[in-house]
Amino acid sequence: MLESFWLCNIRGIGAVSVRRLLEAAGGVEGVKNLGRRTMEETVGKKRADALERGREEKCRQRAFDTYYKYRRNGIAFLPLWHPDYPARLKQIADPPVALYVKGRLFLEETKTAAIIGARECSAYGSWAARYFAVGLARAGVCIVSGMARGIDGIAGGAALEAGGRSLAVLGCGVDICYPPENRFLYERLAQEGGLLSEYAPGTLPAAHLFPARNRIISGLSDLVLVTEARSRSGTLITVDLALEQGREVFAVPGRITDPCSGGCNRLIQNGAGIAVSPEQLLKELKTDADRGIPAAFAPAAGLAPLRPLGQKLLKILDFEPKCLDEIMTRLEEQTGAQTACLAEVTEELVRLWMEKRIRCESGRYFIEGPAG
Amino acid sequence: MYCHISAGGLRGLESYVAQVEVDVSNGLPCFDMVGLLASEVKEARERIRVALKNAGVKMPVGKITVNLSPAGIHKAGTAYDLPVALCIMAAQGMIPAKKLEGILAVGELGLDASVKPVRGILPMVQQGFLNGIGECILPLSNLKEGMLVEGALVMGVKDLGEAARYLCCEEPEREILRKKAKRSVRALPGSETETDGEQTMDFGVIQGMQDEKFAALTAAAGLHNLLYVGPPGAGKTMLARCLPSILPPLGQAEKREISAIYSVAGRLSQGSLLEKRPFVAPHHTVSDHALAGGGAIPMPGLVSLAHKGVLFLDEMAEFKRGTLDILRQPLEDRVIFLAKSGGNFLYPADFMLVAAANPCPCGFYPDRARCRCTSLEIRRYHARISGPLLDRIDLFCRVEPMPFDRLWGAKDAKSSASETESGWDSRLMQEKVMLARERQARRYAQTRIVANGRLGPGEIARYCSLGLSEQQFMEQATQQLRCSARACHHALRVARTLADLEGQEKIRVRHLSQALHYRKGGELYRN
Repeated sequence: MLESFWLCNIRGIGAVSVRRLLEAAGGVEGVKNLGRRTMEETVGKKRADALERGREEKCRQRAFDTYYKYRRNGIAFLPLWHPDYPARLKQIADPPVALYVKGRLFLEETKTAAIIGARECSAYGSWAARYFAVGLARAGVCIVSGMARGIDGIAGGAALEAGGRSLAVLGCGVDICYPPENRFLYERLAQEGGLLSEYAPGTLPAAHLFPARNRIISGLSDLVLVTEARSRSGTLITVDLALEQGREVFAVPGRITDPCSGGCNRLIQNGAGIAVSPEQLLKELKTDADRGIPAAFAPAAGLAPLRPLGQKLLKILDFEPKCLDEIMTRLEEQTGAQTACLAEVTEELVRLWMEKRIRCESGRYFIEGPAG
Repeated sequence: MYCHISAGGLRGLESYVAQVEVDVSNGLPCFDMVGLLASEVKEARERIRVALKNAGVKMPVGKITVNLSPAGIHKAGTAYDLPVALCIMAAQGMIPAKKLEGILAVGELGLDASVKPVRGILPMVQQGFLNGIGECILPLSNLKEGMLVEGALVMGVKDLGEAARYLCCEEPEREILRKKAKRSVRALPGSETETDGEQTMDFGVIQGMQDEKFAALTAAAGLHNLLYVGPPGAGKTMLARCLPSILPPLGQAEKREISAIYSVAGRLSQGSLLEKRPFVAPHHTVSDHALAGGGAIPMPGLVSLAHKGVLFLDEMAEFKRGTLDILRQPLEDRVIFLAKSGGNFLYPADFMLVAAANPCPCGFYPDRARCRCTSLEIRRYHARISGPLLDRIDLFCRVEPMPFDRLWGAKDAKSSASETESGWDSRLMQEKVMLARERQARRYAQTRIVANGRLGPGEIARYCSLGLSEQQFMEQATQQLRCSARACHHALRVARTLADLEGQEKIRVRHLSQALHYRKGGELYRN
């Protein structure tokens, strides 16, 4: 293991070169004793120099020290040829030559599903992410995501909250929390789930690292679910990669007028599966939905029965956030006369909000989950 | 020959009675002015010399010494020209010296001996009257302003000669001259007040927007600070411009207080008391000094000009952070404390803050169809408004763009819907505000509290007591809606006003929930 770590961390030798060298030498031990000519033939002169420098005792010792340091910090190192290396990932065209893991990998034991989507998501998108993440996680499916803002983070967090398993693939070193606002989720994943990255600990997040990270997300998953994406979303890159890797792609349909769902609807148009419920996806994954649909989405028990005005309001409200004026107009239209007064409607709305039947964001009210 | 007259001096917003002393003695001809004078006061020598010549007065040949006392106070402005000139004439014997006694003269001189207006007349005359100097000679264009002080005998003059003639007369003739001057200014057109040239609008022209109008009503009724958040063009500015029209009309004492500030700022151009509440709307590029008050002896800043009125910050997030933070102290203490090289000054700044802001840099959040701002951008945008300032705002109201059909359709429905909030006009709303204020005035009769918006944490506990079910409701709200203690306080204050608007002494659950709607529901994007 030490030798593998050393090989993967020689300055000036990247993942491709490592793979070539291993092919030429037939193993890590072989690389150590590779002749200069073979080296130059396989990786070129510059890299051969780098390798020779790296073979000096001093460099090797430094690599070993680093390895132990990572071990002490709970970061495991998994080279491509390690038995624990995720089997799904080995199948893809360009698997990462090594993975750094914090927490646990539960890949071999379970089915996996990636839940991905836009960073700037609507209430509907975040609800859908949570709905599917909880549903799948309860049935034992491991949720893979990128721990990004928006959908990714919501899905990962919801899976853990439901007592399920979740993995996050980072675009930086596993010892770095990016984005910083997901600190809580990061800590939780390190404790109860898993964090992995192909980049060495200490690598700072950079824009060019993230697309490569996406191939790992889809590579690790049996199924990729897009909950919300605009028509030109970065999420669609992951979908392309998933299709290349032969993964099942599902999309949550949205309204045709909603630009936030434009990408999802386009995917469906192009033949992606339509995700309607967690059970359907579980069937697709050939897993039993034995534990059923989470109770978290039924309204909390012990609530006071709905007042007549509340019932009317719930009929008017839906996913789309509505402002008070609009609600009033609808109410007047429905009841025919001007029976509603502003104060009463406001009171009822705030009550419903407190009962968690509806939600309010910047002055607009909406229903988060399906009614009832 | 020595003689003296009273003059008016300004130090910040305060005025004092200065003595102008002139002595003409034998010696080499010279004209000296002493008494810690700014350069415009020293320059008075030249103006006075020429003005006297053009008024047909020969300058006395001899050593002329002018002293403005108290000599330890720095004097600025051009108001000393007239008293000095009159004193010199008296020193020459053209006016009997004892006739200058008990007279306060204020005015700037032109080279043609005409008397020109100066700023700060109202506080000067007031101060003189309080010090027992009840007779004033003012520039004719300032006469209206001087007449505002009841009981003071004020005379307006066009030029130096007129002032001298007035002084030479005895009382019955003086009375006639004063009446004549007053008649001539009464004939002057326009007593329209000037508050930044802003026109107040009527809420009646705004269709729909019940929620927004109700927020305005609540804010006005309880003097709560208010923030409108909404996309560009939705009507935030329009709503704010309507606000002064529903505030209670100014009382006589308030009018005097505000007019004195405007007089010092030189903005009481028409010379009558301000009738409307000030509505001050600085542009977002406003400088710190313009807002707070600037200068060694500071001129009143916009916060003081908005005293007893509305300070409206349009595009609040565009203001410089430091500039906004200036408002924190006046919002807390209702005065602004200025420490300047000329001394420390305490100016009144008791205004109601109304602000408007876009929800995000592009303005359309949370309308995801149009807004492509990332959450980071939005957060940064809001971070520009400092938290402590937002904490002083009780009401957050979201302004929604009006759909086109309703904008036009509402006109037909107006006649039938005049009873609902959407049909409210300013007159109706002002009545409601007045009733609510009356209730508050009765409740806070023994205290210094003006309105619910000014309740401190201790006073909230005292005046916003809740019944059992209301307490339970608030407890639930704190848990379910994650209200901070401060948000609860704000909600209680607003609920107090809502109850007052309904004419109820007891705060009910519906008041609390409505207050929560305005406090928590409209809260800016927080992730």
